[in-house]
Amino acid sequence: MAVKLRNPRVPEGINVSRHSAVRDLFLLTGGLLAFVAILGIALFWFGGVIMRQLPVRWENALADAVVVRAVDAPETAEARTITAELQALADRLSPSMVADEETRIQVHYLDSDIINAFATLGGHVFIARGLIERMPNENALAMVMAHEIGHVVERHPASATGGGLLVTALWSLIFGGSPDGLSALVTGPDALLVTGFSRAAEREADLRALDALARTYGHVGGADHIFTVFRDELAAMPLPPQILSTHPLSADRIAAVAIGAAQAGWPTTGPITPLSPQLAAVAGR
Amino acid sequence: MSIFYSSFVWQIGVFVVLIVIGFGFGRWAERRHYADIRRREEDFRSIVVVTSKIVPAMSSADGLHVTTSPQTALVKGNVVVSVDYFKRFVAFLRMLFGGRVHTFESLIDRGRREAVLRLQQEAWRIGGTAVFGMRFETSSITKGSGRGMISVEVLAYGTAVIVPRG
Repeated sequence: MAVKLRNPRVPEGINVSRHSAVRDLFLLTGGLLAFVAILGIALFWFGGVIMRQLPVRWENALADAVVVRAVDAPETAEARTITAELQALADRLSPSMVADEETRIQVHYLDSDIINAFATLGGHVFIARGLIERMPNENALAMVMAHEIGHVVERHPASATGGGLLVTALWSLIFGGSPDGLSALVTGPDALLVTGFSRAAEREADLRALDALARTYGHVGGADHIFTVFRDELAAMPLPPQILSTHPLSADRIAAVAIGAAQAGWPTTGPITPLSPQLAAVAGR
Repeated sequence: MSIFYSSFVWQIGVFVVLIVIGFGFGRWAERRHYADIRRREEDFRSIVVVTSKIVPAMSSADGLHVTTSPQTALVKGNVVVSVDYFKRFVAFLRMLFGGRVHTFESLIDRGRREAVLRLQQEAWRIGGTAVFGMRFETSSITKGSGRGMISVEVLAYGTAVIVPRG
């Protein structure tokens, strides 16, 4: 029997199934974001828990190996004097805030125009000249100092470092070879998580600072000055949505001072302590 | 704070633009290629391609008849096809969760049909009327990290039978 060879037209749609790639995109992206959010929250929390359980002396040792090496010693006599004044202020506030013997507060002066102060691992607190220049009195500066000490006491720098490291390490492991756009999607929700955590940490530190001010000065007058400075400085700038911000809104923080004082029964007015002559000189007074 | 916000928006913005461009141009290119494939498949419908290694006796009703010693020649069709950014991203998501990777189906289908068409074209050029023992070889051009664009090379090869028409 002769074989007839044919080359028929084969119907389409057998090897290529009908589906909506756009539907796949939204469905899978939604699933991925949900997965990232849930796992990210768990990892960030767990990493923070682990770091907070570590002895403070281990954190101090890590910080000494990293932070201290990165910080220059004060170069001028003026800088050394200012650093000493800031350290003295911290030493006056610390007894009412620090319970752990291993926790130490070491203040560093940043000769910079930026209006900022921050705390890092190992109890290192940095305060910039730009911020000191805008402080009208010691009470206002003490609020800033106590706020940063509050971060150290609550171990926020350690928690954020541990959580962030764990999330970053695992994401690199899972998504290391992914298309570029995926990293933006993954880091986005994680960043929202970090900023959310940061805002909660800021509120916690604010409350700690108010308590310290009340114990040290007998009232919390001047505590909201730093927030009015931030509010005024940022007034002309377009602000991102609150969800993307690492700090609560300045207006909310000002209101929180009044609310916190009312709830705890702290007086909001009282004798104002002037800045020391050395710090007043920085502030141009 | 504002630096982070700007960076985040920029990254997402670039990603969305790439997705939209990939989707738009990818679909347009794919549809154009398929239209071209269908047209040429009609042009070369007379060149029969089979996987059988045995050349059967052909009926004279086909307009062909086998001589006692037909001429044969190796013919091949080779093509490299790439996937757009949109499909690559969706495929990567699918590979995370498992299941069929629909977005690559048309890539492979186009690649194979194009390779067969080029095989037929080469056979036609040398006077062949049929290709026997056709086989596919498929390989990925871009391997490894997945950060590069995915391209697939499809090779179709077989034995063309050159039968004089009688």
